[in-house]
Amino acid sequence: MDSMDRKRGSSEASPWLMTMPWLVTLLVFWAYPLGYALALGFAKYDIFSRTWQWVGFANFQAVLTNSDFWSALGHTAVFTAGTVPATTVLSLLLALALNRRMWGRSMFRAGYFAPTLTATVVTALVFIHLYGQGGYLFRLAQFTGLPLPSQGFLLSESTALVSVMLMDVWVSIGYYALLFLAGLQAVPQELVEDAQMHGANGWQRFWAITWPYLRPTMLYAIVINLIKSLQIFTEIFVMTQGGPVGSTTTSVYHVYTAAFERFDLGYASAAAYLLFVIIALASVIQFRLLQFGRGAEE
Amino acid sequence: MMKRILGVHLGRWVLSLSLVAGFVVGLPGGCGKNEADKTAEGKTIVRFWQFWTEPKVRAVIIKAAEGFEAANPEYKVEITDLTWNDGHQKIVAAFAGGAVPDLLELGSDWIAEFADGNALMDMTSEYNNLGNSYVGWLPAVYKNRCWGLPWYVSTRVLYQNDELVRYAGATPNNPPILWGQLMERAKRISQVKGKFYGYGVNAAERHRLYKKFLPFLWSAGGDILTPDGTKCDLVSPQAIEALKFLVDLSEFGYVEKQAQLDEMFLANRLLYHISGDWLYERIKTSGSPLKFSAHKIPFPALNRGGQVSFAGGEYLTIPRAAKQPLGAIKLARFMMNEKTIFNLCIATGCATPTHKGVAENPYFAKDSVREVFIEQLKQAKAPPVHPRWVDIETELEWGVEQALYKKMTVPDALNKTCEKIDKILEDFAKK
Repeated sequence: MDSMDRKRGSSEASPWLMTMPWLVTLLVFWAYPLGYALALGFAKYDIFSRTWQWVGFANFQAVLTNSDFWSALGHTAVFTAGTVPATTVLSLLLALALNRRMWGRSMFRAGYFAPTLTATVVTALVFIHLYGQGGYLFRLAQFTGLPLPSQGFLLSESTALVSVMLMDVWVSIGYYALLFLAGLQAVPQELVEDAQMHGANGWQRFWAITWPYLRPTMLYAIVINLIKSLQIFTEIFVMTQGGPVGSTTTSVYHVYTAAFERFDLGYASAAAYLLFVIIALASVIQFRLLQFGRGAEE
Repeated sequence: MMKRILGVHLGRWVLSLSLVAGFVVGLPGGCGKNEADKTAEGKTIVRFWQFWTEPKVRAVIIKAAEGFEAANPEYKVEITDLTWNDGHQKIVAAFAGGAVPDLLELGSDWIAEFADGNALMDMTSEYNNLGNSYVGWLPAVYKNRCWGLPWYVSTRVLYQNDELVRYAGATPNNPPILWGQLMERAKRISQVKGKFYGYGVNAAERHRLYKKFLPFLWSAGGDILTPDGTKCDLVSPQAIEALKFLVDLSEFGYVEKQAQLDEMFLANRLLYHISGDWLYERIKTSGSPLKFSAHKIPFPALNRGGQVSFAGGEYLTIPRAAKQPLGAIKLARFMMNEKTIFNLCIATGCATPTHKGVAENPYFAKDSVREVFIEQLKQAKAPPVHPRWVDIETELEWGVEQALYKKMTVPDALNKTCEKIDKILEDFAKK
């Protein structure tokens, strides 16, 4: 082999060496656990003796016939349906407000983004106190004369999930507002000014000029938020542990309790894969919408 | 083209995958080798996993470990902290992965689960040697063998606010002995103008709610399982009576989680509250002027039931796969000695030392509140020692919650709970 060949061989091999860390990570921390979990879904696994017993589709059947799974899925759907639109609308409004020239704009931008930077566990612990019977939010609701549960917000079946949802919206709007703010920077100001000169009002300017530029950002925000909401776990784990009376048990929390409290890894894997299918389907629908959005971008 | 694909591309793939496979296969071995059994000085490492993370208590554990090292210079103790939130998962994962410690602190509820999984070393010989000097062995006994040493045990008592009790038409030195008295006083104080509540009711809080129902269940003469442990016994009239009493009492109570209920008691707003020795320690260290007293659990009527409370604890166990079982047993004995138990009890505020000699120390014996704890412990019961207790507990809490939140009537909630528990027991029996 001459030096040219060696050089060519080395340059051909280098991309593989460069991608090696990613490839190793992919195989060790992604592909292997995914394959292992799929295999577990078809087995009964004893964690102490580390013995497998193949059970076919029995775990999937157990998941699909378990009312708790469907109940958890229902709570997840309510959570998603409640938080995604609210977060999207509020963060868009916030972004539009923060995009204006105003006193202390940077301070407000940083302030609204701060909850995103705070660890979810910390925020959740703070809200446990705020929602408690002696907490600020409970007292505030008392002061305003709103109908209150006899327990704290998180201990009442009718208010627990809504309370977690409100916290999630509060935490998230800063992040999505930042995305929208970035999207707003792409709107050509000369177009806006031109429209203004031709007598277009605020709504017309937004709908005809700003909105088409923002649509890709909007769809990205919705997809990301949808996936995040379908996977809601930390807030539930810290704030309610699925209670009271199971009213805040979400799909991922259901999988968690099966896997790490009951150690029924077969059932948990099957439930996790079913959840994966649901999220994948939701994502496909979103991708279709995203393609629709791309047309507007062009 | 084909030659290139097969020759060059395939060659690269083989090279890449070999490297990856080498890395993957080498990873577990490499990880395993990191766990050296000896220090650079040649001392044998004894790994101890424990749950005491509060600085004051952890300092006692570290000091005890240092004392052990001084007395046994051939050993070095490596302490790993666990938390009650996820400790159980970490321990199970450790057993599943074969990376177990040498000495392991386990909650009393988990011992049967690990013993049944053949994961623990039989410590019956230690029981034979130490049995008479310690209390609290029963939760560590499964299938007539002993699987752990009682390191820390505790029970629950009824705390009474001695100021508020006057508003309820009673005097502090006349505590409620019967359920009727407790209910009547709770009702009265909740009718007093102000922010007072008759009783602290635990809300949906996993691993805690059942501990507040069991004292009433047992005091009424009921039980969770039949004596042979093969069937659920929660459909008994005693169980129904006990849960109905708790639900009725909650009408005059304050529903919250344990920590918040303790706060409410400290804030002079709860008349009665079932809690553990940690609350006594908290009241003492907070410097609160609260006037209170502790009493044994009330029971339904003079002609039936008894003042039975919940008992639980923490036990020192040795995993069967421990690398240093000899070092572990020596360390366990050191952690169980009179001095360590005394220091541990002082730091944690425990009222019921497992070492009988420590319990006789004036520090414990001449304290009126601790005296109640010690007396209550004599009439306390631990949950059934069953490998599937964690699952049974979940269903029990589900049933209590259904009744407390009025999702079901008391008999329906207990019937449904029993169905679920029976299914767990059947599955276990089949296994």
